[in-house]
Amino acid sequence: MVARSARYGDESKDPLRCADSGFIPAMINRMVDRGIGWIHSNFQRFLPSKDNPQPNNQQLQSLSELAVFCWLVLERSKSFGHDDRLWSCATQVKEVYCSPIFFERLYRLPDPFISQALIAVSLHRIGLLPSTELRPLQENLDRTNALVSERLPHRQLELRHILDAGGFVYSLPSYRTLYRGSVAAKSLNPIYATGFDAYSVTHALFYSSDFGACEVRGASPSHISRTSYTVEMLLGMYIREGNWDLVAELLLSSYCLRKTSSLIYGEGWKRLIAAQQQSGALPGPDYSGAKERELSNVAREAYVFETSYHTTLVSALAGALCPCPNQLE
Amino acid sequence: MTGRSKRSIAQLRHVFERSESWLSSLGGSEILGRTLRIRDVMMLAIGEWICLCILDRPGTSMRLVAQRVESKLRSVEGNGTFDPFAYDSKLILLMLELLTMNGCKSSAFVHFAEEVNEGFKMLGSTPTRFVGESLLLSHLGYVDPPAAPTLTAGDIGRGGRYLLLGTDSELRMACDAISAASLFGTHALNAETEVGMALRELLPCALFHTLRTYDLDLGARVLRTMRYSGLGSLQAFRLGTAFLVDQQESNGRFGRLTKEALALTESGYIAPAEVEARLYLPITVNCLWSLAECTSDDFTLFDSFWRRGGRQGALSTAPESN
Repeated sequence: MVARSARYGDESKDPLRCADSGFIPAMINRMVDRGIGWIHSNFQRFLPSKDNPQPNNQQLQSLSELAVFCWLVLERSKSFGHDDRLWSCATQVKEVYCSPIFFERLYRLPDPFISQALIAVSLHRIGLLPSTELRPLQENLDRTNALVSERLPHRQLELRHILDAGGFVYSLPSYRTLYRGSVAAKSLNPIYATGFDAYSVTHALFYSSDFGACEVRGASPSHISRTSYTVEMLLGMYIREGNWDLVAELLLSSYCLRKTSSLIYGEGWKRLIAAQQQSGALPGPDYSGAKERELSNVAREAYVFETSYHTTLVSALAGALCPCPNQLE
Repeated sequence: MTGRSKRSIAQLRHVFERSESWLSSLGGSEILGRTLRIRDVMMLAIGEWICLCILDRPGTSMRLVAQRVESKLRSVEGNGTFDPFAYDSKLILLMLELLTMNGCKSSAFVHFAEEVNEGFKMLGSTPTRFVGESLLLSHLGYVDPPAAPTLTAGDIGRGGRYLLLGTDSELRMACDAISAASLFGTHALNAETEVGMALRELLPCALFHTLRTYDLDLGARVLRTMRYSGLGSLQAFRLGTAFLVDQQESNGRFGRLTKEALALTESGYIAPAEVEARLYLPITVNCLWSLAECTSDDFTLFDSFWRRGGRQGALSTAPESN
């Protein structure tokens, strides 16, 4: 605590400070808890509607992101590994996945593999889908172009990651080849880095390290050093910008790189916690409080969900998986 | 410019040559000259001084610049409209050094320096925010050179927050405090250990963010601040310097600012004839100042006058340079 005070200066007037020595861990846990509460209470918005059970692209994306979130938190988080709300969400995701209309996408669409596999593997990893249910996906992999279609490097890493997580049989370039082909391994000038560049870096790190469960596969020590610099600089820049979506992803990326002792990492957590709304949502970069206030109640809830669900998910994920500042290294 | 390749030294010289050419054409143009305010003339003089120092041009070139300032001052002092207190006090004192060094005069500037000096005497000790003025007054022989104040955590916000989270005004304030604690680059930074560590971590992010949002004025200031903080070996410093160099147009001015120029003229805020002086000139001078200090081993603006003044023989009280 003394070291932390010395590092951050006098925090006696900091609104985020609690009296006990675990102030940041407690605040992070509270942020995750409130985020999960918001996700649970808005769960229906992740699902295709009963009137139109065929999910559109946006619904598919949000559903698969939710599935992955449930998997990682339930499998790996010490504090939230038995959270009933997440089990409830995961169970309902399984109902959607197993519904005939959803399942038949695998046979009717030309390239459904990744979105179906993300959900199936997530459910399988937490024990809600037996391995026999993954067989149709293996058959799809063997039969279709899923392994040969051109994808961006971080999307190739995503594919490789989910195939490993599900125990599939496949042939793809190694993590070394895929990682070194991604922007994460390159020398990125932060002045010119776009949001797309930042997301490419974060996603490459997520998949190469299995969301921090292992070292970044395929990266040499000089890659790690270079990428750590890029991630730290981008984190500082996006904190300044107030883009909480990228702040959360970059905090998680810092954990993947095992670089969690900087001033910027600690400050990122404080700002993310402070940005959380009363409802538990973390506002995304497209969210506007002024716009929300103009809307009617029903439209307002839909607007907040659309603009904040991803940031809320990734912030809660980061909070559930990452160590608190100064706890590693 | 030690440690650089011959090619990069040649490229940097070209940057200053082009800007020097643009500045002198701005100052020498009869049409533009009529629109130049006294502030513009002073900024021009600073810009030309920086270029001439870096390019190591003879003193006669600078004498012409000083005479232009003297002439403009005479015209505004004559009609009683000039109030030096309406301007940045450091700019006025730098101008006084420039004029004195080149055998030119301004009673308004001398009077200003005397009043500021009297004000400091009444305060007893020099507040941190006036250390720059005190340093310049010491070059003019009014006071002893000030000691560099210690940069504390409060100066950059708790935990360096002004650098990471602060508004642009707060970031500027932090840069000013850092400048003062290094006597504007003439002295090693005097900072608490934790503060020094915070600068090393946070100034690069502030630099990248300001340059990415194309705030060249603030970005140039942050870059200079990194130099004052002894962070010239960081990758961010190198990338920031290269970025500023890239913002020079082929005519020598800095800033790709057509959008801003159109907005200002269409709104009527400035006349089209004033765009060069009101928009491009201050940004160009700020960029030149930063590039000169960040790429040269021995140039710092705040001691450049009295260091060269010894060679010019104009400032008899100037101490021997190191």
